[in-house]
Amino acid sequence: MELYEKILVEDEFLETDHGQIPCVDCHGGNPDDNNWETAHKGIIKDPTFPDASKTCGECHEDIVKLGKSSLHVSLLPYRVIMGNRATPGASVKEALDTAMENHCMGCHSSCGQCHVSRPHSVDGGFVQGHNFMKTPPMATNCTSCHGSRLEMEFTGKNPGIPGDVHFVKENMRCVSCHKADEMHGDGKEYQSMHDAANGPKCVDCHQDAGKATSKKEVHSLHYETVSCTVCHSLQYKHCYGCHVGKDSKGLPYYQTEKTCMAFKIGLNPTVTKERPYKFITVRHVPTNPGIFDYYVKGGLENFNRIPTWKPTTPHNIQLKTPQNKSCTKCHKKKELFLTEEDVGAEEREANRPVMVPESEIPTKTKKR
Amino acid sequence: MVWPKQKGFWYLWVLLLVFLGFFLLWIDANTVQTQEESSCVSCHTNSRELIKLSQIIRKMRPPVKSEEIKGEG
Repeated sequence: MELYEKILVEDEFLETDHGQIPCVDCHGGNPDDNNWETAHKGIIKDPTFPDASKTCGECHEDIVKLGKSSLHVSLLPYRVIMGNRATPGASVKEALDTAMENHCMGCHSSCGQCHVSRPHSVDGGFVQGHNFMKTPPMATNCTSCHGSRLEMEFTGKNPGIPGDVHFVKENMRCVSCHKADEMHGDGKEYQSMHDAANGPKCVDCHQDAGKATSKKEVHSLHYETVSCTVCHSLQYKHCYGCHVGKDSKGLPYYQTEKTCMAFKIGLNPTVTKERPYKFITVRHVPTNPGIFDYYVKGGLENFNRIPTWKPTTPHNIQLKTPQNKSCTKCHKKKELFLTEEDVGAEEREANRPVMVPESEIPTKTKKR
Repeated sequence: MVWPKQKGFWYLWVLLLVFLGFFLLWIDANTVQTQEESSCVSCHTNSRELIKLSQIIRKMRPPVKSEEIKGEG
């Protein structure tokens, strides 16, 4: 996208309610200055981040108040994870904070980066000439950030693997399941996206599948022990090792290692009432103990406190999958489960809570 | 003989007032035009102007992304 396209305001916008607000009220700058360079001094590119209370909040007070707790804004899980892995000490914390600011925290969103422009992490730019969009478009906004894994899975861009049935057959979009309440936050500071109370659940639509009295025997047998994706998703992407630093020009960079497609069932490390399953799908995330070595050597002394294989919801749901063709396509199929053989020696301790011991791989099939 | 001169003097005043009126209108029109030109909207709705400025900005601005970025983010 060319720079001029990113900042070209459509005449139509000026006719809208938001278009009646003087630019300077939100963006600052000096509209009386004829010199564009000095006129833009102090300009606020995204007046909705980090605090939207003086802009959107003037009218949408309730949403903005809750929005501070949105994981899209706070990125709290990243901070929690790094806090857990960090070597204790103020100097290490300072170095890790700098590293995260340079490499991780730029991937946040805001009111404006969903409803007006593309996210800054993909260089921004108006989506519809500064028009405010009630629903952020999937292609320009959601998948700008959630592209490498979720978009490719959902839309079927991974070679040989079909897209999610909800997209391919039903033309559903991200917002069909991820409603505004979830995106905007509910005021609670969740440490993991899986904890969020208003996240989507398959049983919201497929109610019969989530109970002991389900018409389908396979559901009544598994609904509490196996997450939906274990039976209904296909292979998905795993990313490995990420190294970050600054180049000779002082620009931050990242380098990730190989990615691969695989399907892996692991143990659920945090069994809750909402997620009671023993088995879930797990995905390797791009991290390693030396990820922030550029900033501080040995800064993640407690790296092994948190698995590098994380609970995941692959977005390539199918009714029929190789593992749900019959009982024996999953039971006794060691290759589907995350075992020691799949985890490098240096990561085994970290992943103990999610690795499936051979003794735990289901062997028996019970029929009612 | 005196009266016609006085009459001519008043005609001059009328002409001067008319001239001043037009002059003020011209200044006002110009001022409005200048404000429009300097306002955010007149520039940000003008693709031609923005293209010109984009080219200048591109030359001025240093690269913002490292060339050493590798792999999927």
